[in-house]
Amino acid sequence: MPKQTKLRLRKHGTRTEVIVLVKHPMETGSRQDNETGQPVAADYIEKMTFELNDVVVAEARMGPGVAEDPLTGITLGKARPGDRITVSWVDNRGEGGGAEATVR
Amino acid sequence: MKRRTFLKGVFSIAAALGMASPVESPAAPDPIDAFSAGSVADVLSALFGDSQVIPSDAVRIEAPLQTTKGKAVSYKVSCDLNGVEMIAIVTANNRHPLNTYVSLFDADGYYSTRIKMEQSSMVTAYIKTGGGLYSASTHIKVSYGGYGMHDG
Repeated sequence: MPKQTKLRLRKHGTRTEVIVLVKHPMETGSRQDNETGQPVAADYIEKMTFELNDVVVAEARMGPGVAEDPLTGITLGKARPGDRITVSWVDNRGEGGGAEATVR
Repeated sequence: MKRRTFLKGVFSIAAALGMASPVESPAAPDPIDAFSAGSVADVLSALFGDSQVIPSDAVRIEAPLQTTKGKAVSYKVSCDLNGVEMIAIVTANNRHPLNTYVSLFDADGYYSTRIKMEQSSMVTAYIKTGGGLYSASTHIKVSYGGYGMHDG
């Protein structure tokens, strides 16, 4: 199942809020499948990187204690119209994803 | 822990060969230690060393007082502090209390996320600035835990 990444920017005056929604199970590794009783392998995002015009401005670290389909937000005071915001993430299985948006 | 042992091995070989040490500065947190820690004290020492925590009204939390499901609890941290370097969210009653943290290099002192809670707990936001380590806590009551124990 593809782990989709959605990126939304919201303006608060001069600040830009960067909101990221990733379709991700965030499995802890300690859960059992309800039907088979088999343990479900851990599968969670470990790192999410935020870039403003290719410069890293923030880096979030996550563990299994972040909810399924994580919704993550930061705000950037420095972002100006035309700036490019890139978000990328990688999980404990080595899978990754990302998205990009331009500040309006 | 295997990966960690492996990495340590790689690092020590690199050091033995006289290469520049890939180990980050002592102030940088070790995410593996921090997330596997089983107590709040261990989380804090992995993330912040022996920094003194100062409870502060400048740290603001936006979170529910109670929730029916601990699977996804909205948690937003903001503050009136300058030079914020890191924000960490810690749920005291989780087996592994650290939920997440963010390192901020050129972003405002704000972080929002949705955390899992196993049971009712104090949830604390720690904010590290150039000037110190500040915190604020909120108690969130959970009727159902968030690790799949009560699901289905």
